Amino acid sequence: MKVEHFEKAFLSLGALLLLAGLGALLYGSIGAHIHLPGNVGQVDPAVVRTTAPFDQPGLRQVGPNEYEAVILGQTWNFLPSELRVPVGADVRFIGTSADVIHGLNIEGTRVNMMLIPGQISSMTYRFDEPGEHLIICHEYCGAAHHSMFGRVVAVNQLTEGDLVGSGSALAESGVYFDSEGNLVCEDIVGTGTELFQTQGCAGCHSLPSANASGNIGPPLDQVAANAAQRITDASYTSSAETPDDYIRESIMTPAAHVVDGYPNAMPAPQSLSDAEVEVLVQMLLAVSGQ
Amino acid sequence: MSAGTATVFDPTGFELPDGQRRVLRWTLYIGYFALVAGVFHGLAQALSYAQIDILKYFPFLESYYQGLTVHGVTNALILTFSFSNAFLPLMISRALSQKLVSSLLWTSFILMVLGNVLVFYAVTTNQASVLYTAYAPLQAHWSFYVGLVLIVVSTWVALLNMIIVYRRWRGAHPDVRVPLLAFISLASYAMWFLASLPIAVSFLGFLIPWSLGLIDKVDPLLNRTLFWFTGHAIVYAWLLPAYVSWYALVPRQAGGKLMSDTLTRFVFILFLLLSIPTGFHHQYTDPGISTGMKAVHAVLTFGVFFPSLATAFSVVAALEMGGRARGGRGLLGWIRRLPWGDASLTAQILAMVTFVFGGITGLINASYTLNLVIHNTSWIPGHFHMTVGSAVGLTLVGVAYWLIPYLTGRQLWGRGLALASSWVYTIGVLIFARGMSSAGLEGMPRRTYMAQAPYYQSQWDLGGMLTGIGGTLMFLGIIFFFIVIVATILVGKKGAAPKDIPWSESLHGPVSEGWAPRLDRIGVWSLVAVVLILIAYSPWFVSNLPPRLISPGFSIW
Ligand code: HEC
Ligand code: HEM
Ligand SMILES: [Cu+2]
Ligand SMILES: [Cu+2]
Repeated sequence: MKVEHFEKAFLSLGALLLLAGLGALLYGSIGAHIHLPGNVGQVDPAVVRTTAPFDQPGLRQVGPNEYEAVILGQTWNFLPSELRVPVGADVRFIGTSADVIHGLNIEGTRVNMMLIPGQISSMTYRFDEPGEHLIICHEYCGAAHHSMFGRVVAVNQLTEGDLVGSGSALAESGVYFDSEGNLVCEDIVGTGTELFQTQGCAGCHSLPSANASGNIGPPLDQVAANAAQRITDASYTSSAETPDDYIRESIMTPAAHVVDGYPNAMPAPQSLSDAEVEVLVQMLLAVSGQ
Repeated sequence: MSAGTATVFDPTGFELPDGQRRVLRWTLYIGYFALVAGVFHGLAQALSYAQIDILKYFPFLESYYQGLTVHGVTNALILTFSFSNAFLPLMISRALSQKLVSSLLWTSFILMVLGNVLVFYAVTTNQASVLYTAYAPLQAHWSFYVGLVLIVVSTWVALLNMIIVYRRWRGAHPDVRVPLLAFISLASYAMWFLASLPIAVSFLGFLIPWSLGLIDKVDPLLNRTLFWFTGHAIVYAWLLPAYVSWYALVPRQAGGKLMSDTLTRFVFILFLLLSIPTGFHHQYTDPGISTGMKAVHAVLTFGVFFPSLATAFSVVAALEMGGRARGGRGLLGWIRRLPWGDASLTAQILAMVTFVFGGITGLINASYTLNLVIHNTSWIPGHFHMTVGSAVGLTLVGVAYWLIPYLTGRQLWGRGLALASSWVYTIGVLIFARGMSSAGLEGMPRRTYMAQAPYYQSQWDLGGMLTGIGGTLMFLGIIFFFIVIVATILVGKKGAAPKDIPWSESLHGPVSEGWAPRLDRIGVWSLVAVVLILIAYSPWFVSNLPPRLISPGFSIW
């Protein structure tokens, strides 16, 4: 019976192939320095926003040609949502999650790690060419998971604002309340539209003036009229009395009133100042006809 | 029976009592119904990857992720375990010529039904859109976790039934080797029993008290690790019943013989030993687990590939014997002579074909560093629709084509449509997997409502389109299957059904001398498995216990 011989040959060859595969892995991880995320450290998700380095997400220089990119994942965006990193330098990506499990995959690179609340993930990568890469959340993390993404831009030359500490997001948007409590903002619609796009609102809401077509939340092109209507509804039990109040409340405490037919899926803002919220409210009123 | 004769115990003329047949039949119906229920949203998912959004035609669904939870739970959990709960006890009862224990059969069935009812309630009311992996701190309604636990307990009761039947038989036949079919059926569920303990700890110890408000917080990494502690072995719990059919039944259906009794037992023992201590290969990209432990699991994962290689050889050799016995000649001529008109056999051969690709892509996933390229991209669903989604799925379809007639006493209705179902499904799944894997290599994520993703990239167009086309064919294949089965049950010709299971002879039967009989001691092998598991997992648990209870629940869907 020849079949036993074939069998022996097949199984030996198979075993050899498996061993060769293990050899290649050994070479890849030790010889070619491709490392998986390991056990780096722990952090308490309850206070992660005030714990270094996650209190100041962004890029910092830690050596002559070495950088650290700190990223905080939260429902449903990455902080910062855009990172500029230098070409040809070692960039160590350090991440964690402030709430549920998220994924962090930088498309076109081998940076691929899970962000698990309580654990710190880290991987080092060197970009060889300038270019833009998506950061994709590739683990299901709730209603708007598919709108959770960010960007890494590899550039030949960093500019000053690319490093954290050299100008906070607040100063950049340039809006604040003066000592009398008046909103100071040069271009409410322009700044508001920009905030709308960079703060993730556009992923969930449609708003033609901001080129937004999200459909998880209600369309906002008629929000002024809708707001006026909603506060008179019997189902409305919260305290807003004017459309402005209603929109402000919708942004600050989304769960106070959940619009009929939509999930309670809107996250409360994590990184908006009060002045920025006010700009958003005024912008929405302005573009929806009031 | 005198020691020294190689024998297969042959219970000619055995008949299962009608009452027991009925319970087995209804257990199977639950599983096959779950398959059909689940593929509707499967279609929606595949089309969503092709940028076609048909979700608006599912008015009773609140979101893509609710549908994806349905798909994963029905197809990966309910289909597979309902099938095993019926199939494995039937196999052992037939192999040993013993009746099953009716009370346990009923208990297992009722637990399965109750589990389904609870899960159905939780998922359809949108209180459990956490996907079938239920990763904390996403928090579902307690009924979801309790329902899943009941389903797992139903599998334990089915195993208990098998053990009792086995011991009864053993009492009457102290010196005979266990018939192969009984041995591999028992080994399959023994492996699953060991494997299911960690998830039981996770659900009973943490997630259920947490969802009931008895504890406020849980440890996300600990629960995730417990999940994958069970989670890799669960895929073998899905696969091994299919292997039981490939080894012990398919050769007969093809007109051949099972190659080697001893090698087959050896293969199942390797699965028992190696399926469980490999779970970290699902957590290569996780923080909080040392790279050294990940490497240990990588090596063991390569080890558990070996019994599948042996299986590939054995089942192809059995098919070849069949083809040659039917007059096939030449190197490949035997393939044409296989009974391709037999819908049951055809589905299972096609299942084996897809498993070649499933196995190869699986080895890539297991490859430690290579995993970084594909982890959680659409490559992964590409891979597992060729393993659980067709190697297992199509085998269960193929088995239904003789098993439902066998249990109902009715002839299979619509052989042509039955044949078409598995061909259409196979062509579909190959196109689907080609699409999912190639787009995955370019970073397209899995578990994502792609039709609405604001960052969608045009480089995924081709992969997405193939996913949509392939998924549509797969859907058609399952619908054909559904029509055939329902028609068989309702209008199939009475009396013209198979009277016995297609049980194969072995070319090289069991040996009673030397070390071979020691292979039969499942209890001892299970202990060895426990030792291996302790080696692979205890270092991590030692440094991660007690749990860090840090995460409150989030129900944000
Ligand atoms: C993850 C998706 C998501 C994001 C991101 C999001 N929203 Fe919402 N939003 C919703 C949903 C869903 C509703 C309806 C349910 C509710 O009222 O809470 C809603 C409701 C609203 C409403 C009330 C609309 C009405 O018709 O009553 C306003 C105003 C609003 N969002 C503004 C914003 C702004 C401004 C941002 C950005 C800072 C934003 N949303 C970000 C999902 C989102
Ligand atoms: C008509 C046939 C089917 C189609 C079109 C289909 C399609 C899909 C698609 C596109 C996904 C990925 C969804 C996403 O990641 O967003 C998916 C996930 C999945 N499918 Fe299928 N599928 C089918 C049948 C099956 C079968 C038969 C099984 C198992 C027996 C199965 C098991 C799974 C599992 C376990 C997942 C993962 C769910 C998760 O990530 O939570 N599918 N399916
Ligand atoms: Cu996500
Ligand atoms: Cu696995």
